[in-house]
This record gives sequence, structure tokens and C-alpha cells, in this order.
Amino acid sequence: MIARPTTEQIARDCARELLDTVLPAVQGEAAAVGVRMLDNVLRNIAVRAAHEIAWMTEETAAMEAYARDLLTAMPQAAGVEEALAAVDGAPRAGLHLDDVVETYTRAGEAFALAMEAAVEEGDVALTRRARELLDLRSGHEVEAMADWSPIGR
Amino acid sequence: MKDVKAMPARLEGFLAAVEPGRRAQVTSYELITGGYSRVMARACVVWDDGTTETLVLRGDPPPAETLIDSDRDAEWRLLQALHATGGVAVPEPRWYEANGTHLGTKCIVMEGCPGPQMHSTLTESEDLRPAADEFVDTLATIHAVDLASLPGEMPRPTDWASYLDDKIRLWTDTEAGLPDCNPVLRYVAAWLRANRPPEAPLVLVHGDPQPSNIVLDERRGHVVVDWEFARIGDPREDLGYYLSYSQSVGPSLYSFDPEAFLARYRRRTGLSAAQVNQATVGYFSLIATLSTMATIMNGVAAMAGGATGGTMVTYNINAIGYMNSKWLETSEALTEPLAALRRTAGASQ
Repeated sequence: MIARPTTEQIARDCARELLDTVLPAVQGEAAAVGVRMLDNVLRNIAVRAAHEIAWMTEETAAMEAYARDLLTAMPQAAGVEEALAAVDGAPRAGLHLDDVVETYTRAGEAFALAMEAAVEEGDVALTRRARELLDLRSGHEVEAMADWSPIGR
Repeated sequence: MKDVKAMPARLEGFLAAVEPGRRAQVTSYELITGGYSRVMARACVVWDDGTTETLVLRGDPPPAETLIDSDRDAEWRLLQALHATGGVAVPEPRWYEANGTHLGTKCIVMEGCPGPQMHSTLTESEDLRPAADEFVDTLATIHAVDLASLPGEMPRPTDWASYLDDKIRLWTDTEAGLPDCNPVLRYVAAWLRANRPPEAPLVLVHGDPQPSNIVLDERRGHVVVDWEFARIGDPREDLGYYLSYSQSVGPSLYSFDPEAFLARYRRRTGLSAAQVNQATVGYFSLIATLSTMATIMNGVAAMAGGATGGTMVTYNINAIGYMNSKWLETSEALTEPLAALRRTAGASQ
């Protein structure tokens, strides 16, 4: 495995090449907008390659803990116990991306069900904690956007 | 409709079919750019008695290019009803091709309104208040349309509460169609259920009210176009939609003085300060933004399933992250103002 340059470095270099070399040679506004969009996509890829497994692993642990705590407080919360059983059965042994994504998705479902129960019951503390987890998730999404803006519209 | 070389002859054939007593020559045909959902074109016509007129054609894009679906039959019926009633000025609906025989698609043919789009007349530097006042008045006029005058086929919600339930359900239904869980959508849906605003009467809502959909006509004033998303709903949906829209496409006729905007709207409609205020409009801005985002989310879901691809879809993944962030921010900011409204309502009972 050739580790360096990292995937992040390679993707950023491709983005730089696209803007510095390809874009000046492109004719037509529509094609130029397409190149700028591809530059943004490459920078999205760079951020995700650098961090997404770590972010999903971190969020998975926090979401799973939240769902288990809520189930302790509200054993009747609809679907949470079953969703946590699905998390238990997730492919957690390795760090291959498909396995991490599958586990993350199952933990997200358990968390969403638990959070819905907290909001519906008016549990202020658990709702506040859910908001903090959502803010953590959203912060990662914003970082991965890599200065995205709606160009071309 | 997009074939500008073939369309003049096709349109002449259509006009011969709908006006068998006279002949028309199409002297120009050009596509109108700027819209995202429908194919629009403008045509100049000379009739055999020497009269001329400008027509606007509004049809459906090819299925593969359809981003947002809407019902042309329903839009045609509504345009006819609004034109007959006369409360809201709309382009005169002239003819409708329901089967695409001549024009290649279901197509509304209407008068071409003279005058600029309201949006093109707005600049950040000038005093926006007169335009804001007129915009508010137009919204209030739309919302005052007698529901009995609307087409019988138009869906009538049974009551406000179930209507709002359906709107909120769109969030969970959209999320259910995604390849991954999106807890933000689930949270906002739960938040919307837990923070319902005071009820308001159901009215005709335009669904896409913005200055680009208003033509300034010297004789009739504001002529409102693009009725494809019109429905019977909560009037604050239009206000919330415009709030959200104008945050990305300015200048905003709302944001430079929201209190004046809403006060004028209340005077024009008779709705109360508890019903129409910045918090309730903010609530409906959340409701309004999902419709657009659902289209983007469905595209991203299709890509994850291998059904589609392309730079635009990939690029728009960022829009989901952006809106997730905005929805969380907005719901957080509105929680206390909406709770205060409920406390006030509870204290007065």
C-alpha cells in the first residue's frame, strides 16, 4: 500500500490541476461551470477520504450510547430495542468503508427512533443531548462541503 | 417544444385546429429561459385579418428531463377559474392541448403579458418598501380568492390539523426513501409536530410566490404567473416559502423590514398577530423548503442505487448538508418564540 501521498493529497492535486490547467482551456460558460463543480466534488472527496471513517465511527458510538440510554429511561419507546439489536448484528469487525457505512446507518436508525421518542415525550434533557449529536453530525457534513456554494444556478 | 425550427409549423397547425375560421402565421418562436420545471416559449403570431399577438406556451419537459412533476390539466383548470373570477390578475388562458398532438406535450397556450418581471425591477440600492407593499397586497389578494370559485377537482383538505399532518409526514416519507438514515429530517419532523403554530384558515396558496412570477402590467398591475404548485393550504406557506426563497435570491422584500411586511399582510387579510408573525412564518419556511430538497434527495438516492449519476447530482449532495445545517439552526431559533405563542394562547383561554 502506497500511503503517501494520501488520497486527500491526490484528490486536492487533481482539483488544482483542473482549475489551473483544464479550466483556462475550456470554452463555453456551461462547460466552465461543470469544471468548477467537479473541482468542488474533488475537494469533497478529499475531506471525506481524510475523515469519514473516523467521523462515522465517532458518531456511531455516540448515537448507539444515546439510544441505549433512552431505552433505559423509556423502555416502551417504539422500535428502539429492535433497532439496537440490528446495530448489534452490524459488521463491526473491520474498517472497510461498506461495513462502517452499514453500521453507521443502523446506529442512525436507532438514534432517530430514540430521538423521536424524546421529542414526543417532551424530555428536555434527552432532546438537548439529541440536538448536540445532530450538531456534531451536521458539523461534519458542513466540513465535507468544502466551501460549497450554489454556482451555476 | 424545444425544437425551435419545427415548432412554428406545429403551432400553426395547432392554431388552425383550435381556430378553424382563420389562419395564423407564426413569425417568431423562442424558448424562455430561467424556469426550472416547465418548458416555456414565446411566439409571435400574425392572423389572416392582420392582427398580431404574442402567445406564451407552457408545456412539460421530456420525462427524462423532468425534475419536478406537476399536473398541467390542473393548472389549466385553475388558470381558467382565476381568469373568470377576476380577483387575481393572471395571463388570459387561450387554448390547451391536452394530448400533445401538435405541440408534442400537454401545453397551455396563454397571452404573452407585456411588461417586465417584477424581479428585474428590484435593486438592493433603492427603497424596497413600495414594492414590498405591493407584493404583500398581491399575496393577500391570492389568499382572498373564494374557494368556491376554484375547480371542483382541486383537492380540499378536510381540516387544518390533518393538512399540517400531511405536510409534516412528507419529511418522514422523504427520509424513508433515502438509502441512509437522515436523523435531521426525522428530528425536524418531530420538532414540527411538537411546535405547531396557531391554526389559520385554509386558502388558495400560490406555492411559488416570488417577484419572478409577477409581471408588471401597466393596465392590470401585478399579473401572477406559474400556478403549477397552487393548492388549498395554509396562507403562511406562501410567506414562509418567500422568506426561504428570498434568503438565497435577493433583494428580499421581506427581510429588510419583516415586521412592516407582516403588519401589512395582517391588515390586508384580517389574520391576527398570533397567527402571522416571524415565528409562524419561520415555521412554514421549514415546511416550504423540503419540497425542493426532496427532489435533490431523491436524485442522490437514485445515484446511491446506481440508477443515475452525473456531476450535478454529486455536487448537490452538498445541498443536503447545507440544508440539514439550516434546518437545525432555524428550528433551534424558533423553539422559544413558538413556545411563547403557545403560553400566550394558553393564558388567554
